Amino acid sequence: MLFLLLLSSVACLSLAMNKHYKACFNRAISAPKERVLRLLGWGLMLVSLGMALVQQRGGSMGFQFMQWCCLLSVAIVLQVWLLNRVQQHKTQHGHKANNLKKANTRKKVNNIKEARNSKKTLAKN
Amino acid sequence: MKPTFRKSMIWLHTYAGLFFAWLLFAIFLTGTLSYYNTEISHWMRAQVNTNQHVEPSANDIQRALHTLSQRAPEAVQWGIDFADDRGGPMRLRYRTEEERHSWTVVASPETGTFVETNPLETRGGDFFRTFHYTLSLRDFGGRYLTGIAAMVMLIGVFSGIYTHRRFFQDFFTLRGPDKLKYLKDLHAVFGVVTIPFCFVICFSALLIYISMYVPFSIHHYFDSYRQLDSQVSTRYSRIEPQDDSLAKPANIPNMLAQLNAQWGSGYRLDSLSIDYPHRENARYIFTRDKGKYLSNKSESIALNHAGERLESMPKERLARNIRRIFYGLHEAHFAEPVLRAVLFSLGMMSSVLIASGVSIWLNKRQGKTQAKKDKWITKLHVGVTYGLCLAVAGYMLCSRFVSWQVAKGGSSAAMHTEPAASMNTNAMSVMDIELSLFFGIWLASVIACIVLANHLGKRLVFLACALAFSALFMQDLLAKHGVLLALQRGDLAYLTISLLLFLSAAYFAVRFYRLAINKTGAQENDTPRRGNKPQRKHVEESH
Repeated sequence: MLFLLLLSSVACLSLAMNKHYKACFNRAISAPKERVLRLLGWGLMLVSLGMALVQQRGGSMGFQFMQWCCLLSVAIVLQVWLLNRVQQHKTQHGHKANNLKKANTRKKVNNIKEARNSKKTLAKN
Repeated sequence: MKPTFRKSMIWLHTYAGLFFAWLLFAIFLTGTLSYYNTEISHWMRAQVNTNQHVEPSANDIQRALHTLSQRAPEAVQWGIDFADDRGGPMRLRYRTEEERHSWTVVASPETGTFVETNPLETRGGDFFRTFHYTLSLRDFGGRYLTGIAAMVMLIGVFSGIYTHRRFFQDFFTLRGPDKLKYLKDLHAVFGVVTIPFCFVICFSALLIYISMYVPFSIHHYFDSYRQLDSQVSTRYSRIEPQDDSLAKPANIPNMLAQLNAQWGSGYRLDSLSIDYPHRENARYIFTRDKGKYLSNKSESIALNHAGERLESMPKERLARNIRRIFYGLHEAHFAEPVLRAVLFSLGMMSSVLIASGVSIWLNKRQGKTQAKKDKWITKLHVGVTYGLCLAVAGYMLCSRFVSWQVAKGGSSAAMHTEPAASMNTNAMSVMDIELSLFFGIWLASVIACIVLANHLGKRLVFLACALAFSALFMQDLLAKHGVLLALQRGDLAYLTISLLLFLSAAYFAVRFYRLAINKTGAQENDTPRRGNKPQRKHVEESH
């Protein structure tokens, strides 16, 4: 759960960079979009940090923070790998890539939506 | 001195890294393996040691105490270390005036007591653990060497930030087929990701042995480290045995109730130790697991035989607590399976980081002069890094073969007490065998890589690694006490190691396959993208 939040935040941040946005959507990023993505990314990261620190299932704050750092590292590596895959698919088979890319972005959007939903449910609880 | 600050940083990063790379690689790889210290021991001893973690009941404790009283009636201290969920077995220990003794036990359903088992006397995962900070040179300054290495790693991490300063622009980037670029990006990404990890690990390593590394200030204020230690850390006060009294039976249920009242539910008993078990003022000290706290001091409660609380331990000073927290961070005693896997992969990433640094340097220099020297270093690099992986596999295989021999040799009567003596003489040699095997294989693969041409040597090592790891995995699959039994019992600790073995086998097989089909590229150009376990997934899925 925490990890999904982190992953989507990292995904947003990476897509806010023109290079990776281009790689995924085939066109340059517009300024407002970049801002939105960047804000969303940092926001999600803050939320996840907050969540990590607030939930204390029998553990101390230090422990939660450390866990958060570790998960963040893994999320970054995973995202790097994902972007690399997208890139590779494109260079290998140009046409197929379109579909794949869409699927990939859909996944990401779903990720984010899911994260939001779970946030909402958490808030309700 | 170089003209600019950045240039001198690059110089520092390159040469500090280069000189210590192999040492650091060995330390990081074995250190990472020792995250699964207990699990590896459990895996290696699985032939005989099949007991499992269960919450000890009052009855269990009573029976363990009974066993102890039969075995060591004169002891001044008894101890029980309970089995844990990471595959650590239950152990009993006692201490008399002259000697200490401890042994592994398993509950025997027939007699209702705990009987001694003879787990295979291998060092298990503890070997990696001690190797990663002593380098098997404990008496020759091995720990100073690792201390220096830790310091160099810190230097490398910080100078690396200057050297690869473009990594924020190129964040999330892995550039394609060009090897050097790919390696560089990999190095940068893993570097960024593991900055906090490496920092904490190296810094805490220095703090753990701070008494060795900074002896001067201690000797200025105290006579010895021991004196300092007695000032900062606290322990239970000594008790004097009442000479003419006899022990009253311990009220175990009452004690457990007391513990529950204090700690609530959701704790795991770690150990119980009893001072002067035969006197009326015997003291029962229960220690719980360290839970999700960073400090490596675990809470404990002292009770008397009736289960009433005795004086507790005074609080420790702040300085000691800080060291304890870093100690805990280094050892990660708090990690549950998922977090442990994450830390393990971070450790592997830093190993890859170190090895890829050397590869970058070698790749960069390819076109330049001094080709002969470089060739040597390339060969050595392959031999040292992959040779170490091979040595790890060989070390683990050794335990399997020995236990197989033991089982075949008719002493499947490991449960009997009679052949214990012969087993023990045998056991000494097992430790020696596995140690010499480990270093022998490592050395052999280095020599093989030097003697053979580069691409041949590399293929040989890959093939050997793939074969060794798959032999391990196959053996595990076919063995009586192997992965199938573990699956049935849901023995997570065992399965983790089996899974890692499978991944390693797959990784090396893929690497070998790629090298083998790439006959035309058999020139120098196939130096590594060296990766261990975490990377394996990349490789597998890209095929």
